Amino acid sequence: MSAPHRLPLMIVDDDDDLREALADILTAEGYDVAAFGDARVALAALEQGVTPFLILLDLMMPGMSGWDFRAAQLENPTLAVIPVVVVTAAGHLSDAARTLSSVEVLHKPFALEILLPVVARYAAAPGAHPNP
Amino acid sequence: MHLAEIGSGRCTITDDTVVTEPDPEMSQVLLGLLVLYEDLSYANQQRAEAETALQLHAEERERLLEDRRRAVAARDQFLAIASHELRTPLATLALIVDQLDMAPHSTTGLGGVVVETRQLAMLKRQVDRLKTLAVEMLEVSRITGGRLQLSLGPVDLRDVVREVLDRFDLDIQRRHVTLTVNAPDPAPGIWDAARIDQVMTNLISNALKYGAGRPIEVSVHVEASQAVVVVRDHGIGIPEDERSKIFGPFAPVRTATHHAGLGLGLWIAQQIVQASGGRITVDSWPEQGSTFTVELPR
Repeated sequence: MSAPHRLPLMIVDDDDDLREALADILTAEGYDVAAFGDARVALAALEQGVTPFLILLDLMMPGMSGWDFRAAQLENPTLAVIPVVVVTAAGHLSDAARTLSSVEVLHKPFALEILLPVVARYAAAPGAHPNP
Repeated sequence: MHLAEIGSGRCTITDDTVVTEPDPEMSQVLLGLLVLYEDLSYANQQRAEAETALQLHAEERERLLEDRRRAVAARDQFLAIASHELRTPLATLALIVDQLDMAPHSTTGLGGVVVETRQLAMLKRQVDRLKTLAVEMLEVSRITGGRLQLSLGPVDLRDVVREVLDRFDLDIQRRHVTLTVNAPDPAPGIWDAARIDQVMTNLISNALKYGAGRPIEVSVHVEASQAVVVVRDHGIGIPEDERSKIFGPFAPVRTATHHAGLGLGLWIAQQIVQASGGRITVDSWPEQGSTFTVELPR
């Protein structure tokens, strides 16, 4: 288990089981996880001051989609700097996902050994993991 | 009074009458012309009818082609959607299985449920099978939509084969299969490593699946302008009437009662090999096994 991180990791995915599994695993890895099934609620949390070091973002969600979420995030200069990794089940959407301002894409289903290093890399980035 | 002569016939025209004296020769000519005119009219009518029939036939053909295009597009769209819908539950399954697998002991617990190592291995295998199916379904719409793209770079084919075989190590042991590799030299070339891996994975997977537990031989060698991989099993083989179909999409699955699958693996493999400028061939006899040869230009 890794050392605890001060900034949370945000998960935005409408699939309850996947969101819960991701939250369980990443919590067990020592991350402080804030998981949201509704992108609008997640966006509201960001606007209210939650500052994750990374957002794992699903694309195809009812209500506010991942694209809409990302567009709204980029409109706000404070939120725009928060990195996003898209987690998508849509095989053809990688190009579309990349248009979301240089985000990384993980294709579902992805192995844990793929996910954990990606999250760890963002956790270790300057500013993501301030000294306690 | 006016006189007019047509041929050897004579025509006398007064103020209110026309008197003609028919010329038999001219009558024959006129009759001939009339018959010719009728023939031409009939021919024209026949031609018009034929043209209409052709037009209808062309329209019908176009309609059938359009129906076929729509059916193929609907199939591919369905496969893409089905693949997409499978991927999210698969992602959850795969993550949980990975999490259980990372536990340090031979038995591990989650929520009070103890999962044995053997059961865990089974879970992993089944998740991997589902992943392969979901990926294959997506590949159909990607390839038929012309979206198969290669990321070319320097690759050693021998390394790719070794990596694939390493991944199958547990499966090979579980099936008690003897697998020998003959790859004495590096086989460098410019290919898409991930795609070539996919081809080799398919061939090794098939050799294990249809190999009836008998020995499997894999060889990698370099010829003048190409690298060649040969995967030979001594299993159930392919009947002659099915041999030409195995590289087609949705190929008949060999001994369908036992070996499930979508029948897409070899089609995808062939598409990749062809997109790489190479070719894949098979030599096979029932109950004697199959030999798949992949030739890739260097």
